[in-house]
Amino acid sequence: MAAEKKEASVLAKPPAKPPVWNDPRYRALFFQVLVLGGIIVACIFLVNNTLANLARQGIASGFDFLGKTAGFSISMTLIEYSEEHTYFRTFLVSVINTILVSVIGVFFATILGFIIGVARLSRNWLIAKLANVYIETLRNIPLLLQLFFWYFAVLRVLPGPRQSVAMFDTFFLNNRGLFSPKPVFESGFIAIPIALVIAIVAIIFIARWARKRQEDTGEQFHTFYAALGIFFGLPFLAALVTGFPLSWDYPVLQGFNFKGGMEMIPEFVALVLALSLYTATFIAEIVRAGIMGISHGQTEAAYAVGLRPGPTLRLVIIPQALRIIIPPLTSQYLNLTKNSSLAAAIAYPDLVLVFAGTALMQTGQAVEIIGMTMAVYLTLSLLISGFMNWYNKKMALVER
Amino acid sequence: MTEQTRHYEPGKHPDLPPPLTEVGVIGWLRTNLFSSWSNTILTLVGLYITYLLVPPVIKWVFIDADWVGTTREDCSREGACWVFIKVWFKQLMFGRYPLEELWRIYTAGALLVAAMIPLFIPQFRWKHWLALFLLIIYPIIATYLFSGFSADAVAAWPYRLMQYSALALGILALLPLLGVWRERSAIVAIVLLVLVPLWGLSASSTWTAGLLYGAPTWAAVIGVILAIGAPLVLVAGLMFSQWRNVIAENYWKFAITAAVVAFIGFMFPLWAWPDTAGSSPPWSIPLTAAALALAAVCPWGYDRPSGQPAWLARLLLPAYVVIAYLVLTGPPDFLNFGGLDWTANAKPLFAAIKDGPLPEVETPLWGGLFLTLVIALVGIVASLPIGIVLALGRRSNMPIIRAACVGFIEFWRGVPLITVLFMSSVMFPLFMPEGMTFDKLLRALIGVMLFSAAYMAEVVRGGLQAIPKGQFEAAGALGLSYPKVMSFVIMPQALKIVIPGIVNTFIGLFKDTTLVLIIGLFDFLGMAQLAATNPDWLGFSVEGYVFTAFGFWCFCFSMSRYSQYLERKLHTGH
Repeated sequence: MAAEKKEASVLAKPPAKPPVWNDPRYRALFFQVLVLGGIIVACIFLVNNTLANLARQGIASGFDFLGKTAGFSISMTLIEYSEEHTYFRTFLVSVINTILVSVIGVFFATILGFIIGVARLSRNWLIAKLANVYIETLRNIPLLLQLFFWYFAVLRVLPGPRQSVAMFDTFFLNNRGLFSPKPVFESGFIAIPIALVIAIVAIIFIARWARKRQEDTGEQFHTFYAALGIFFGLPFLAALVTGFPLSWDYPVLQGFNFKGGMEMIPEFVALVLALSLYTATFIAEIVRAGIMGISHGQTEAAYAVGLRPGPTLRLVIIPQALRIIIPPLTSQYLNLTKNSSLAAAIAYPDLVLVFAGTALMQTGQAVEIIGMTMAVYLTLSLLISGFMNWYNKKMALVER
Repeated sequence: MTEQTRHYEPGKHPDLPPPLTEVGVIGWLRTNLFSSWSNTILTLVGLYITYLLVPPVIKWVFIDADWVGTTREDCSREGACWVFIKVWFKQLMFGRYPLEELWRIYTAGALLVAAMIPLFIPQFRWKHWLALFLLIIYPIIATYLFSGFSADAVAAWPYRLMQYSALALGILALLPLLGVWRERSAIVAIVLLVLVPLWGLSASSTWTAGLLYGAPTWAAVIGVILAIGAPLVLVAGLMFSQWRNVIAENYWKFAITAAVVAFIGFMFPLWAWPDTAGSSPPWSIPLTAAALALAAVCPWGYDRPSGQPAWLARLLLPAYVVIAYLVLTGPPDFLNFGGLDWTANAKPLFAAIKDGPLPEVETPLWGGLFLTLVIALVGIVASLPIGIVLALGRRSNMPIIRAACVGFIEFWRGVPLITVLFMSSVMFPLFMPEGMTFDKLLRALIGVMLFSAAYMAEVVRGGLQAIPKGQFEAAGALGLSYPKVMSFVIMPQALKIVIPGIVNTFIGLFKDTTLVLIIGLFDFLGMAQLAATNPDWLGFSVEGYVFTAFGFWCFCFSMSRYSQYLERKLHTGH
């Protein structure tokens, strides 16, 4: 009884409070204040130094320089630009060039990557080995080296316009770039894109209707063929009604160069080639891993419930493989976008070359320009990863 | 009687060979290349592609190639001109590094290889020590071998050594106060035993320089012996248990005696400080010496039976920290009478070394594959610890630390390496105080380091996330502190999981080092580019690219194969 009482009194006693320096809460607070203080001190140090250095070099900080005339020309512009335009215009031009090369690179890299990735898994020994050799060779060679190879060793040593390499007499490749026919839109052309938009909206509605009908009644509808018909049929009909308001402007050799058509400068061609060939190897490996990540039991189970090989692939394997593929694919798209900055090495007028290069040299506004450049890349990265995260969420496994 | 009509008992028929179409070469061809119509077409397409690619490449690389000669006239221009590579080989490997100094790179490389080999031998038992050598001592050796001594560095080294050993002493002396290593003051003492003489040596060299100005030799010798000897004897006393008890009982007497003796010793050469030296003697040196002597004997104040720090130690340590700070930042004017230039004293003494065995090779002369390897290895070695710290910070419960780490990681991962290198070459000088300049190579290295650390942090985070929560909880339940939980339980498992990811980051970093040529450093690819634009050798860029591509390919491919081997080896299965 006495022992029990004693025990109770021991229990009733509040546990000894740890000293302040051993209390996890205060420790956490201490370390955080320390880190915050360190960051603030470092920031003040850097800002002070920068301001002092700028003041000594006589550079006025601020974004006023964006309104001044740039005074240099750019070899490739998608929007109107001349030497009289402002630095802000050069910024826009170079951002658009960066985005253009990234989008086209992503497009080709994805297609090529999926083809190679599937070829790598082919049951045909020769095809699988060829794909393997392609992957192992190109992905172990630095991108910059490949870029140099395509630009300096292939495109720059091509013959001049008079001895162009011609494909079907419509595409011409020479040391001035790649020349292709250019679409000329005549009046009434607007009907075709409108028809295309209507077709896409109609397809979405048909797909929803077909899915609902299948869930309700079990009857299937050939959504794919219907969609195919509408997608191509409607614009074709619109073109027929408006009398084909589209013609092609072919490049023609005049004097020492080609006139007309669409001109792609060799820097652009080299950059797209290198970026897509290099990134395709990584995408191919991702695709292979995604497909191999689906257990064979899934295919067997699908066959067992009576699905044919086509629907098995479309309805069972690919949706699951995509779930594995998308996250690493996102980072490859991000890599490609960031790698497009290698353009500076071969003088393709992208953000780094034109804005962080020429504009920086002329104005000396290092902090503002490098800051804006980094901000553009950060924004692009966030946009791409945001979009892919949204898509990933849509494809993700819905769990309880 | 023919074969076909012979009759066998059921089950007695001899085994027939399998049909020719199913085994051997034909069978293999049928199953792998011609199993169906579509497959046959694919095979033919593949064969055509092979035919288009392989024979011309082999013809260009081997059959039509020119291998011998020394000038471009020796090349027939039908195949590859390997003469070009032969002529430029040294530059491709080492850039513009002076040819007569190449032995230094060879030595450092041989040392690295020799030290690395045992790491790959599974039976080797002292890997930890070897790794420590490679990570701490080897970089110092390699740096001095590669860059040699600049005159300024030579003059400054006694002062630098004094700074670093004072800092190390301070940290060591503080450890027991923070509760770390309280029970291991003997180990601390052993380290002090190394550091104190090192410090004394560097300080004494400053007075030896004073000797040049006329101080008597015997004064300097006695001074150095006393200064180094006093704390040394006291620290050595710790090693013997019978002395230890005697000293511990009269702790403060011994400590103060050591400090006074050191002070007197360090004062000795100064009394003869000549007027011709142009400045007053550095009084701060003996003061610091006394403080250091006290600090050196401090840790043993904790070994008293109560386990509490001695009162003297409590007083001495804050004082020591203040003095160590003064030593580190250089003495302020009120201590450094007459504004003595500390490094100036040592200059004449070490002027001789300037032209000694290792003349300086400035970093703009570094180049080629050598520079590529330096950048890649420094980036790899430095990014892993920074990455681990960042990953732990990102998983921390403390919101400010987490936010800081997330911000850091996402910033570096969101921008391309080129802009990082641009920033390091254009903006870094702006960030630093006036007059403080960094080598271009060092700036690039810092950029590469921070960039790859962010990627490494994400890889390590992946490993941390794969460790089940039970591991953290079980380790915590055993009473392990956070550093112990991490270093003994979590990290060994997490790092094992992410080894393939780490190697992949290394491969990426290795390839990315080529970008430094954009800010004007001539790495492997940069030298190939430079060689191809040489007026005497125009038109051989393809050979240069093929050679560099082959070099990079060999490194990257072997690294990826090694990572696959590790993945298989470490896959213990769960």
